[in-house]
Amino acid sequence: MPNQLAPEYAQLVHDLAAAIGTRYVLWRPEELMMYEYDGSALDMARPDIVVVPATTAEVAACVRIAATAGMPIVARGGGTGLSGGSVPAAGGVVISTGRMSKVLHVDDVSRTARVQPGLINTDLSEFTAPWHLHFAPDPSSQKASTIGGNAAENSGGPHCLKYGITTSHVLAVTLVLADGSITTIDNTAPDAPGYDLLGVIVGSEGTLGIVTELTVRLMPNPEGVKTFLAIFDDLDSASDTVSAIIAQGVIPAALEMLEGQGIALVEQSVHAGYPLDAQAVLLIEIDGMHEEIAAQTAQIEHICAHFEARELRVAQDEEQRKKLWSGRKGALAACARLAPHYHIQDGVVPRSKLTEILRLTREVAKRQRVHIVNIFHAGDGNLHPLLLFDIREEGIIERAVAASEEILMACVNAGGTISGEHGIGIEKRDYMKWLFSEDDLWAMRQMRACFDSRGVMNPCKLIPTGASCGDIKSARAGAKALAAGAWI
Amino acid sequence: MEKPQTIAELASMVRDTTGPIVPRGAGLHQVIGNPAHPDSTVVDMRALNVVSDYIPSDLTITVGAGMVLGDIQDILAVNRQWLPWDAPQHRHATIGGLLASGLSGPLRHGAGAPRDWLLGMHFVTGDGRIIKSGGKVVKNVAGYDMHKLHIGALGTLGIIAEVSFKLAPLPEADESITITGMSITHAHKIAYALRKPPFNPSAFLIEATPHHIRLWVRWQGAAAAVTRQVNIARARQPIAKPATAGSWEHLLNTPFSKSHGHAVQLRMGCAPQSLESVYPAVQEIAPNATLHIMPTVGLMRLYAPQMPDVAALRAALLPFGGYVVVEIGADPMRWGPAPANIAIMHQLKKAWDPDNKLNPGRYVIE
Repeated sequence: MPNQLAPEYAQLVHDLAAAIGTRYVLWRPEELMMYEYDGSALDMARPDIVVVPATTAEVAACVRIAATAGMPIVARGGGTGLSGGSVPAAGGVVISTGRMSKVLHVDDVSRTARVQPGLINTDLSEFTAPWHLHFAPDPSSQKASTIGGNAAENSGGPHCLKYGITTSHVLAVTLVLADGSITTIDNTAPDAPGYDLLGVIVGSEGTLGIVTELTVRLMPNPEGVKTFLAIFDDLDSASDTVSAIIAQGVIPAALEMLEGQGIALVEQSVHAGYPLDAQAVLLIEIDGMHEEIAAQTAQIEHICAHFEARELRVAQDEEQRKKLWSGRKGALAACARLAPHYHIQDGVVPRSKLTEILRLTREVAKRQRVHIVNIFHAGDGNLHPLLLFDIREEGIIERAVAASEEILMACVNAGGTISGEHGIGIEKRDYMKWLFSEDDLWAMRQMRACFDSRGVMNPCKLIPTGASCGDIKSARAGAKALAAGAWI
Repeated sequence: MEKPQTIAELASMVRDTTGPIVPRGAGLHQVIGNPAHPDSTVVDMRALNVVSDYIPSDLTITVGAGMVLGDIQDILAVNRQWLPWDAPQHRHATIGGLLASGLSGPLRHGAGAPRDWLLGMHFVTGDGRIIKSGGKVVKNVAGYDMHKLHIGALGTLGIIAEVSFKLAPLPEADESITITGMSITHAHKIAYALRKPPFNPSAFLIEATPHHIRLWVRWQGAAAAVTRQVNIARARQPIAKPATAGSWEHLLNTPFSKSHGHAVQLRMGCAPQSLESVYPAVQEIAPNATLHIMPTVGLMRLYAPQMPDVAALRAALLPFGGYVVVEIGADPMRWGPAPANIAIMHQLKKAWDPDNKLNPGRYVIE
């Protein structure tokens, strides 16, 4: 009965349609299909209903109606997340921010923009270009991911090395709480009395409420930018170069690494000019005043020479720079050439441990007979080991999971963490116990309950939960087919 | 007075104490907020003063909350690193106390606030649990950033025990200018002119006393870049005079000075774009006050011999989304109107400090 509405939802759909219009309430299976997954390697979960409200008031109405009916509520932006944040793990109502995608106001005195959550990340910087301002967080998904989603996941991106992750760039939000009430959490007047609730909202993965409007910080465009491609015949030398650059006090705008098979895969797909036989390449971008760029160029040239880089290329113009970056940002999709399925991790290590952890990654790949490609934010110590395989091969999922967990555990043991920017979601929820004690998790649950005592907002995410989420399949056994629309 | 030597000792002390507890660093900023409960047990945090993790090549550090910020900066300076945080009294104040008091300085313009550098924390709740939030690496989205809740919370939500920070390389050059003798509005306009390309300053401060108005501007970074900016600025503003890092420190360390007859300290904030609109009212309401204004940050502090008409100041700032807090000085309306979302804040306080032990009555969340 594809077009028959389940009777228990008839009243709910009717109420939602009355609140926001019939055409913005989706319930037919074919309409729901595209809302059952995100960019992560997850088992899918289909929402019962999807709503596409246009205003804060409409979001609030939907939340009120859904919460009254006892339905879980999950917000969704671009659906590019890599931890299952927007997957309706326990079913329920998905609230898409697709119709809330406007820039509402730009203020070039305070260097802020007021935007709706469904605004695409790159659209904001394009909009503010006439003021010579930009939004600094630049996840590789930025052409498809939304500012609201970036705030929910506290997204990173290559340029967060110098400019900080999303939490430092969000100044205020309008928030719809679990009971459908609307509030604002506003740090635009700095140091106002009261606890810094915005600090916990950003990165809360939709578990505390739904953000319907944001005021974000804009950064002045730098006077100059210079982009290098450093080519290495040896992985250790490349990772030692990363550690040395940071240790010498150069904070590039971005410092990215591609290694091993990943280089050839990306080159064959994107033709960014990466040498096919290199063992590792570093994409190094510095920005700032001309004199700073000159001084840092000298330092980078010296360090790369010291660690015997085969070659250090400089992008001669904006077109060459974009080409070099297209290789990095399009890397995940390019890897589909090697194997049809992937599983990706997002561990972080202290930067001095990079060489060690990359060696381990290679060793694990060999031992578990799985392809592992690393394309990642080296300057932050934020690894993205990309495990590539074909699920038709017997025993491969078990081996991939074992490899992935071994690498992640090594990150934790090195003093790092289980997620640098993708979020915990469903996928890494069970690993939280590797990092946090029962008391730590207790404090998080208590805090969450202050916003949402009934746990209707994005349940079964972020914090390991009890039996009520037991029926949600863990991501650990999951694997997703590579598609063009996925980014790390 | 208790003086725990370890975080575990701190936690068991909190568990065993039945009455109110006042966490205390160097005690320099205990005067901020409502007076402590008279029957309080004071917990001296200064024995938690160990660097537990510092690998210079990682540009991160983890220290006990009882460490003096200036001592941390000395350790970092050996490796040409620092925390870009120009808090008042940093030579004597502890890092935990400064965080709890929410104190920072004009470097916020270029470097951001301490919350942007804080990577993680261990804190002790009112029922004596040791809670970890965040971590030690520069990027980490595992769990809620609970550590941010403790900044400026006066220790009411938990006792800050250990903190991890991201670090910056020490700038090669650090040069400043001052320009004296203009209206606040004009100083504001000059500051904004000195923010436009090619300028990339690290700090602004407008110092407005009953006797003079002076704009301070600071540049840090590569020597040649700093020199270029200072030269252009001085060419445009011929009356500008050079200033040193030391003169900033002097200015920021003792703005509240009993020798100047100061008895009152107010914190006022609003969105930076509205600050210019509130100056005339502030000057009219408090003509004898000294103001320290961070124009681009949206923050002002007012120092005065007697309490100005706080209600009138609030009336001037509120239309712009601003606020006024009486940091030092007796005022029954110290915090002003209840903040938005106070119900959530009260619940949080109750959840983490169920017996209301931690600095009861000191803060806006009682």
